[in-house]
Amino acid sequence: MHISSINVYDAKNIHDVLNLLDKEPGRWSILAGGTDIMVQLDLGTWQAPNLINIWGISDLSGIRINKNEIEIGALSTFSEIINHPIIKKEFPMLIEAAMLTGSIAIQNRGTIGGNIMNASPAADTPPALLAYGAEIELTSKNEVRRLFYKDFHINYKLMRINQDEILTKIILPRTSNKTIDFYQKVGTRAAHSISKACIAVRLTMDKKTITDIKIGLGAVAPMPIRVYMTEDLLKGNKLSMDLIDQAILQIASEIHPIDDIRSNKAYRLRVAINLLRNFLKGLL
Amino acid sequence: MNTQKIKIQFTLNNQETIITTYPMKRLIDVLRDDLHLTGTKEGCGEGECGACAVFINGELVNSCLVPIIQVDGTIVSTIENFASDFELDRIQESFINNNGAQCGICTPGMILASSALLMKNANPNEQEIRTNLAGNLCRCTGYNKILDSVKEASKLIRKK
Ligand SMILES: Cc1cc2nc3c(=O)[nH]c(=O)nc-3n(C[C@H](O)[C@H](O)[C@H](O)COP(=O)(O)OP(=O)(O)OC[C@H]3O[C@@H](n4cnc5c(N)ncnc54)[C@H](O)[C@@H]3O)c2cc1C
Ligand code: FES
Ligand code: FES
Repeated sequence: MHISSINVYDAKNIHDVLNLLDKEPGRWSILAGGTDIMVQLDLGTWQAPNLINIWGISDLSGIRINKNEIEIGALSTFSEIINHPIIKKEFPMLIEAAMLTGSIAIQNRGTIGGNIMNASPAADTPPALLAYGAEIELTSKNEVRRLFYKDFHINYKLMRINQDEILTKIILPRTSNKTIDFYQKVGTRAAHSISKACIAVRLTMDKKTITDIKIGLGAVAPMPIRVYMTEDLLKGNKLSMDLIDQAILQIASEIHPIDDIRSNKAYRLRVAINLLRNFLKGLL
Repeated sequence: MNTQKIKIQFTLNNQETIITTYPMKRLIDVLRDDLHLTGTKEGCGEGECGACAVFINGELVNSCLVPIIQVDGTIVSTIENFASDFELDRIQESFINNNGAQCGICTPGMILASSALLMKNANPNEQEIRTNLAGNLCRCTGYNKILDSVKEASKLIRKK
């Protein structure tokens, strides 16, 4: 689609956005930092002729620290997240993911809401959000609702969002428990390259028993996923080489990587397995 | 059907600038084609190479990824804003002294990315330079001379 046929509504505040989505649901798409949309426009793959520009709407950005949770505005850039001291302290995997997302110039412009909504299976922040048990806030003119992020992606680029809704917040639950985080992205080049596989784990341990664990994965399925059966197998059990072997068998049957230009199925499966095994072995 | 052109007003290299164009026109095309500021280069057109870097409100961005509607009301600064009529910027000087440029296509972006780094960290180590320039590709120099250039610029900046 050529730029001369794209119509942009320059929203001044969130009410503008919600009113328009309410009046003409399905007609409008959101333009945030544009780092995905502009590339698709250039490649000729962008199809939506009507955009609502939300860049600069302050109600949609900003990070708020509450007693039990942290609220991140969907329009917050990766750079804003990277520079936040409390996120750095309590949610280091999100910082790591943001720092691995493109270059500084991309981090200054790309938003976390755009990263989620673009719904690439290989995006870097979703595995971290999954491992942290994040929630998201979706807003329409008539309703503000919350959803666990783990339930948001249904299939490739298919999400539980209505046509009159916009993603407004990402919510991270704070905890005072002692937790262990593990994040690793495997790609061809450190900065910039799109993941071939990506894993994020948060767990709590009591002596050698795993008391809680969440495992988020990227690039091993048509969308970012948790591996619930592997988590259940590990949870409540004492860590041992035998348990790790069982977990590896389980995760191998639970994920379904794809072949694409960046990598193939077998390689992705191997990488995901190795990442989990090495991490768990390090805890023995 | 064509959409309507809109009026965009912004400060470009300290000058009030007004332009009427399509809202999704890329900033790089406005700079190069409409305003004839050709210092900003286009390499990949997809955000990967950093040749098109500019500052918007003091932040480093790739101008091939910024639609002009998002430039309205901002302050934009390009490579043309670095040297005065009489004097080169210290980063530019260092690139010349160290042969940090060959064909020169990546150089404006390299200089802007270096400037963004040196403004927040006047004394970066080699790893910090590499991380901060990771979004800038060069097909000619092999990068070592660019690293040398940034290191010298850092010294010059700290001296003054
Ligand atoms: C050179 C380059 C390197 C990159 N590297 C990486 C990388 O390493 N890892 C990675 O994960 N990504 C990477 N990306 C992808 C991109 O930067 C991210 O996905 C970014 O987070 C998108 O955010 P945005 O604000 O720019 O989105 P936009 O381009 O503005 O929008 C993206 C999509 O999300 C929708 N959308 C945006 N915000 C909302 C909202 N609040 N509510 C509803 N819908 C919304 C838009 O309609 C659109 O469909 C890279 C991109 C480039 C150009
Ligand atoms: S031309 Fe903009 S990043 Fe390459
Ligand atoms: S000098 Fe030619 S691309 Fe860097």
